[in-house]
Amino acid sequence: MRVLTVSWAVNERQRLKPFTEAMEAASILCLADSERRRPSIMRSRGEEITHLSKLHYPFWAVPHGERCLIIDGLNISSDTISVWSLPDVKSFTEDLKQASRDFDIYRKVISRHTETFKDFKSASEVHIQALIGDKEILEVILELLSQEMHSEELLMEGLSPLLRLDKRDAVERSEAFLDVWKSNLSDIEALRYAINVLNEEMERHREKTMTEIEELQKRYEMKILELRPLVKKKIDRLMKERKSKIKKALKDQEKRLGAALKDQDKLEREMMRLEKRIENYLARKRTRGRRDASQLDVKIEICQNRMKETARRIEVISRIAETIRMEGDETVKTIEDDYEKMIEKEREKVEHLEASMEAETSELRKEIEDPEAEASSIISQIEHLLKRKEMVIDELKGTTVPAKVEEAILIRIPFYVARYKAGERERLKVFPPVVAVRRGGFVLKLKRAIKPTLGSRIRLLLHPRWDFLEQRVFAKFEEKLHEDASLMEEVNRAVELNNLLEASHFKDGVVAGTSELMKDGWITGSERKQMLDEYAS
Amino acid sequence: MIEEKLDERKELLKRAFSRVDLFEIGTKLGIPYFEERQSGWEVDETKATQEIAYRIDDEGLREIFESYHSREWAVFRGRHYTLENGRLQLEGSWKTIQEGIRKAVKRHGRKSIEVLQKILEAGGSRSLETLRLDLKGIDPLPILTDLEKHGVIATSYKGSKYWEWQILEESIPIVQLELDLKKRVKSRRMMLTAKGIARGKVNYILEEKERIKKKDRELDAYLRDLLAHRLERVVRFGKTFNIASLSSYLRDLFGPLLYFDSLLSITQQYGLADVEIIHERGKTGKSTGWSLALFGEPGTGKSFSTRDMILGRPKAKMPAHGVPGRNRYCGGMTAARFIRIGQAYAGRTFNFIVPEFNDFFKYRGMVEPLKLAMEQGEIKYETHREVIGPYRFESFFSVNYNVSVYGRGYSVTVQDPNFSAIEDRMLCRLHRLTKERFIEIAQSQMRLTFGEIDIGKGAQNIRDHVALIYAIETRHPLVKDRFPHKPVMITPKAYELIKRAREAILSGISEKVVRFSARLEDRAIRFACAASLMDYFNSDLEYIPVNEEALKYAVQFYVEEASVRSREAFEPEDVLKKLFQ
Repeated sequence: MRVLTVSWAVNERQRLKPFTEAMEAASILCLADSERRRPSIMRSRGEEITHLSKLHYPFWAVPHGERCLIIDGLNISSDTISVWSLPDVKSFTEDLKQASRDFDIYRKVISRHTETFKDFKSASEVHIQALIGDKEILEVILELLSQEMHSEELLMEGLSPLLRLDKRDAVERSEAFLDVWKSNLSDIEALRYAINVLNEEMERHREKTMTEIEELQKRYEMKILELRPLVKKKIDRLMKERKSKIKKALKDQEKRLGAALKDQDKLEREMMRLEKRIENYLARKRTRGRRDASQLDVKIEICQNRMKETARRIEVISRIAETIRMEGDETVKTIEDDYEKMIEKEREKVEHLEASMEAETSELRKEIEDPEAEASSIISQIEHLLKRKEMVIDELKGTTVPAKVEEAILIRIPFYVARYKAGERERLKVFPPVVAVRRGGFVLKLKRAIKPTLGSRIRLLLHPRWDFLEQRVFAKFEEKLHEDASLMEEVNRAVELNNLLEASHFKDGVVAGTSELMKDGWITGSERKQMLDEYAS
Repeated sequence: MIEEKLDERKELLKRAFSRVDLFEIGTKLGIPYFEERQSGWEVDETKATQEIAYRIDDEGLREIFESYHSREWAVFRGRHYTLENGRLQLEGSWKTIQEGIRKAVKRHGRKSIEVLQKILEAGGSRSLETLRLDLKGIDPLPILTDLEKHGVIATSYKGSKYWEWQILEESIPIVQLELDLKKRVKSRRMMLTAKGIARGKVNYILEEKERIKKKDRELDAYLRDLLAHRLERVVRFGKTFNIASLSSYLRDLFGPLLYFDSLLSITQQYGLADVEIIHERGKTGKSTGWSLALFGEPGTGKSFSTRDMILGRPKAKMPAHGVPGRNRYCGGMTAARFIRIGQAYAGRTFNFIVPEFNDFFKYRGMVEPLKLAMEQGEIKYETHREVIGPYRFESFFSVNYNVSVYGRGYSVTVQDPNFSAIEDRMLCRLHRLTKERFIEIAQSQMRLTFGEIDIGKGAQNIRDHVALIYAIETRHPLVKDRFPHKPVMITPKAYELIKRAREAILSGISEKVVRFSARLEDRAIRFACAASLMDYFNSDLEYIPVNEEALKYAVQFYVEEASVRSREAFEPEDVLKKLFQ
């Protein structure tokens, strides 16, 4: 099994002097000691450190394609994933397929499903125990996997005794995540399929409607094609007929008008003759004087009377001619109007067919456009659900770490646990991983100088390595210790099995480490002596 | 017939069930294809129905329809199956269709034939309006209504004023046949002026061309699915796969004697791509395709090694190993029909699986065209009634035939004296029912029966591999831009080994006459090159070098075959020992 073990203390980048194992032993002892409760007014008995152990917090990195999932090996953490169940895609696609052969059914199916994909059918939450979904913790794990991969080792036995989920359990837990993942992918496929089927069916019905339109147009075009020459022929005939009728009417008019005009002409000539005669009589009257004057006057009067009569007759004839003209024009106009109507009626036969064709094709177009608009709206709804599902996949991806592992790897993050005892009362204190800061700097030296206690000075030297890991993993772990008796028992057992206070190498480390810390000014000589007397003697 | 029934079963399943149902069915049957998927939305319907259809028989089909709710509205009227109103009948509808046509003819006369003909000419479906235009002066509606009532046609679309009918795809052959019969009666009446018209010729070819199209679609669907879901796995598999691993896979399944026939069958499938064989300085004029003949006494597992291994046999729990859509099963086919349908395959390379090759020779005069077929030559066949061809046949064969096997040698049951010429053009393998062979057959039958042999995954891997290699080497459009085509390169070392084998064989034959031709060597080389195609993914070169292991198998085959043809004038084991010491 592959195990990746992380160091408890790492050097700050600017720190030049390595923080040795001996320094680690000395520092943790100083820290543990500083956390010991001393006797006070409120507390008659002070605490003593009975045990100090280095344990490891286990995380599993389980492969998930090109990425991996992180499982809490102590089964303390958990994550919750929202799951939205799809509307009934199968019944939708099956309805569409059934409607494939009938436009009317298709229309009904589309209307029936306008709300189907408006939203997910239901929403629920899947709780996956032990799955780490906290982005910051995952970032730490990624950092560890990418930077410290070289430190992986093959651990055959003697794994951290603190391990509540073994490799198989971890893989099982990851499978719960995998199920959600796969189910979402499957939902995406289902939605894509629904879009495809709907698109195909839309296309099919559109194509059939277009064929129907084409056939309809063809049918009309054939009718129009047949009708057009007939109409043309009829119009030609009507125009010819009209022409001849007008011609005949004009001829009649001309004939009647001719007779009237002839009479009029005759009368006008008569008028002219009478005028001449009167002029003659008047001339004779002038030359002869009084002789024959009265006779000539009578003659003139007669002529004048006749002229009046002729003028009256001319006027009558003129009126008749005018009437004839008007009647003729009227007849021609009537003929023209009648024929125009007939021709128009013929023309309308084709136009009427063209209009019917236009109306019917528009109706068919509208017939397909309505369900198409509804179908497009359904597609938008499905696409919206699809987008949300894709977002879920992205979120789920965010719960994984972008590092490929071939098989499940155990990542161990070390921490120290100190057990304190005061009479019958015992308690545990956890010390998460740290970063050792550089030695110098005026401000630091000043701070160090004004820190009165050893613990506060060591805390200046060792900073928490990951604040949030302290808060979200180790603090939770400490809380869990109080809630979970069996975990407390396991930790106690581990602590007892691995008590550094009794290990000579640790004591040697404390001796050497305190000397180093003293050289660096983190601990005074008397403090060192006190520590050594108490723990390393 | 088996293949036709399988095709129908596939189509029926596709029509009757949604992909979600198919997924449930496939998962319940434990088919690996479905186990690799999470839900029905991920399956390809063509592939899914194919996988199911191969694994079930009629009883299984009936059970599926009893357990799963099929589409009430789906209709299927095939030769073997009928589906109406969600009810499956394990019998075809063709008789009903024939009767339907006859009834329509009785009522409407030749008009009904014209209607059907117009629908057929239009590819199977036609609208009322178009039919009205087609059949000037005839109102087709009463005819169509009658034909629909009698189950000959079905409404394929109904719009507001648009109505379209279709002849269901599976019913087309019987309608065609019926129409053709009518035409023939008419032409006979019109008579004898049209003497010599090839009866049914056009339909055989049309039908076969349809079948080829279907097979092309089957290969395309298989490849699409492979590329979408299994490509990485197949390439990974291909990197560790070769003739030796195939041989060990088959040996584990069937034992040290039986495995060799299946090895030949599968290797022949690799050779189907008919890849060019080159040498270091250029072309050899040879390619990897060859025909295979397994002969021997009945019950020696010949059909199992060819038909069942390649096409699969659900009853025997044997999945298919062959290239999808490239094998044409010819069970029950006469040689004359084969020669006729061969026209449809001109310019194409398929593998014809002929289970009873003896039957091809029941009629005299078949040897010559078949000999030409084996040589991939130009076939022309004339009778007093018809002339077939000429056309070039470029396909291969996997045939089985019975022979009488003696203590030494064998005699063919085919009476045609020229039959040996046919044999000479194939890679032949004699099956002798020895005690050892008998025990192996009995044991593997028993293991298959009790499910001790699970071929599923292995078969799927091999089938995927052979299909992908075939597609690459034939420059199939779906893969040609992803993988380069590579020829097979034969080395002088290979020729040297063959030469040594020849010398060893000849030295073992005491007679002056040799009873086999030099074609045997050619077959051995083609075999080695076909087997080397398995190494496609093992080499980064622009060509595939001949695999040494493949050469050993080729020499083994050469020596054993030469021994059989020489009536076992020498012991093949002795020669092989001498060669590989």
